[in-house]
Amino acid sequence: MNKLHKKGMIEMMESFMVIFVIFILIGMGIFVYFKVSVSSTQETHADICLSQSAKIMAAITEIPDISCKEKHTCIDAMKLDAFIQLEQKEKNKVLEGSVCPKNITIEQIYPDEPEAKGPCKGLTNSPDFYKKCKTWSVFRPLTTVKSTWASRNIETAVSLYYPATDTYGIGKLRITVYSMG
Amino acid sequence: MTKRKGQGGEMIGLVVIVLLLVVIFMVYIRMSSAPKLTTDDTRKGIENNNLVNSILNANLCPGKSMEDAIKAWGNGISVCSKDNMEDFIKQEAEVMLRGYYGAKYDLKQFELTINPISEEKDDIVLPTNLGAQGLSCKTGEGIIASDPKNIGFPVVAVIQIKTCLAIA
Repeated sequence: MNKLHKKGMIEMMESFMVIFVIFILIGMGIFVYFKVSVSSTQETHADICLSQSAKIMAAITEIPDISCKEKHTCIDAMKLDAFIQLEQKEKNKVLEGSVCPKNITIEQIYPDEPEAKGPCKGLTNSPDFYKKCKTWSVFRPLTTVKSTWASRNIETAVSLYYPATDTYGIGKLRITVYSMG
Repeated sequence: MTKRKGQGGEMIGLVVIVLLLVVIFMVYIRMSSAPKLTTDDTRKGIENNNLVNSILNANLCPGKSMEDAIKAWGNGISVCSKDNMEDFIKQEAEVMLRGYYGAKYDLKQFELTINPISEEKDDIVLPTNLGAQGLSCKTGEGIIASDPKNIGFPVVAVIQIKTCLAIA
């Protein structure tokens, strides 16, 4: 009787051990699945943000609020100046939603004026404004960007039109996309 | 008889464990091999085309763009009161490219070529090194005709920008 009782105990312990191992394996499986699915969701979010920014990059010279349609596809510096002074919410309507926090700037790279520094906001009425300033901050993220968020830059050249002198320069459009990850 | 029963239970347990491992492995493989949305190539193509168009539109002097300067060079005349058009184009293109690429200018990841149709003239190549080297190169191109609005007019030059990913 005692022998049988001992054997039963051993078998029960064996069964518990097997169940314990199975639970550990299931737990590990759930953990791996959760981890993979979270990172895949974050990657998808970052990819969507990037493709949305690429769309803006491709179409920015077509936005009526800032484009010049006289000879080439370009950005009118005076219209750009008026646009950057709009409310963030108004700009957000033009630049398609705020699902992805992004920062959009345009930096003048040609003509290369060594003296030109700082923002051009409100200066474009002067014919030689491009000698005094260099950048336009087109859009800033609506939400606060945390330092832990990852960021990616996409850049392209844009043709800048200066109506006061009827000349063209080159600007560098930079879109910084932030993603939580 | 009891021993056999016990062994049967152990075998079922082992099968369950193996099945679980297989399922976990399959889920992992499926997740890691899911197709990714890659926009890099498209973006690079757009970037190069935009750069070529911006360079051609930019004014080198009042009333004369880079496109006009290349046309003049191709036809053997001068604009912006410059005698050596080749040097002038090269110098201005370098300023534009240095401004655009910044510190990356010297990394040999891009190459600008202005190829005149006239055989008497040499190509303008920037930066003057071995050219773009690496993987997955993309090219943006612009054709400079003596009158782009009329298809019958001769092509004066072809401008290309090639960018490549660096070799690791």
